[in-house]
Amino acid sequence: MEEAIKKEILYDLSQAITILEKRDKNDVDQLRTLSDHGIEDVAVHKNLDLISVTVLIYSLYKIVNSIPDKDYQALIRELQNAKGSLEKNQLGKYNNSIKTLFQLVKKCNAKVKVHLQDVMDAAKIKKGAALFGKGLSIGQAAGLMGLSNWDLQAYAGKTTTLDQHEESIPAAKRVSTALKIFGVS
Amino acid sequence: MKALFFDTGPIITLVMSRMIWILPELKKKYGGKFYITPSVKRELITRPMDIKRFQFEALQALKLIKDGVLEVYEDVPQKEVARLHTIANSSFKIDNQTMEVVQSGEIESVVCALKAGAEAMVMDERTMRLFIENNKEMKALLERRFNKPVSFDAEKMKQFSNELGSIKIIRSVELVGVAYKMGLLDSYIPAQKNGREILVEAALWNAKFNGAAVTEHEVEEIKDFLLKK
Repeated sequence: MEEAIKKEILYDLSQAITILEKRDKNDVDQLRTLSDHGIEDVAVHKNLDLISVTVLIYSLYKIVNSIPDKDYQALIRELQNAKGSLEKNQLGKYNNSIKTLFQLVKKCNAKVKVHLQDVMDAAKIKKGAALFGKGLSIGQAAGLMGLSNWDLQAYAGKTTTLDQHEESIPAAKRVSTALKIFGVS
Repeated sequence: MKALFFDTGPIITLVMSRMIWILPELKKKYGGKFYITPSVKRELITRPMDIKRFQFEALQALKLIKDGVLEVYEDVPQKEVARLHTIANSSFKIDNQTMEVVQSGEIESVVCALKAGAEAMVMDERTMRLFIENNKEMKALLERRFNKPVSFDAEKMKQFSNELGSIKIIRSVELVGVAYKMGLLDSYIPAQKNGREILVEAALWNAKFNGAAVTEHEVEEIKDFLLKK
């Protein structure tokens, strides 16, 4: 793993641990901010390990208020394990911890039924849309998140936050071109 | 060659907005070929066939191929696609990291359209369009979105524009506009004074809410244009 990626992941994990260690009502906002920070790194580095951690943090943000105490403690322990393994460059152990963390998220989601669709799919779509919002193409953003273009385009059409984009050719001119191409007056 | 090349986005928009039925009619009027590339077929049909949520949508796209409305252009110049993909994705840097902003599949469509001498590309993808039509604006866009300085390779961007900049691009929302002007949507006009305006507005917003890359301001501009002429 590249040193720059490792540094970013360690930062994200440390912040997540700090946020979650003391359970309070600000956790949700703080996790969301952390996840937004993560997506900028994903856009720049396009690294799968970084994508996993960013999606994980967004998933935690979505379910944090509904996690039972027992699972909550297990979650913090596993975040600490992941951080410790990565610090020691024990990548096998680190990957196992990340896998366990996703399993915990899935388990919590099944219990609380937060969303109709799996929370991690939702997280991927949300984060894919954020990448699209940063200027990546739909295909590139979907590809990075392991989504199809259908997933992302269906979401992008329904959100107003992605509406602001720049066009270099006036719309009327483009319609006029299209009418000429089809021989319609 | 009298042909149009379609990217994935416009077909997804037309399927999701329940307006894919206009495509065979547009093709008849056009009198040429409607092509997609193998990458577009993969993203449009092969991949969603494994996703239950989009399986029927994929079947609708597949039907267009079965009916001969869309044809797959197999003669992809792979080396050319790879070369331009490398140029595009090495043109911008943030924090000294190259920004990979477009996928090779998106470039494939444009390269094939140029190779085949197609009349235009039908493409909603705004990043790719910006790259082709005004790639200097791409730098400004990335700087605004990341709030960080972006360095760019002016020579590569110029090369990209020189090679791909000649292609005309229209979007799904323009296809809807053409369909309206052809009278294909007339049976939907409500029986009231401003019936045509309501229809045009509804059709354009329908496309927008199903992924067409068009801003609110543009919807108004296109509506005025279509109703004026």
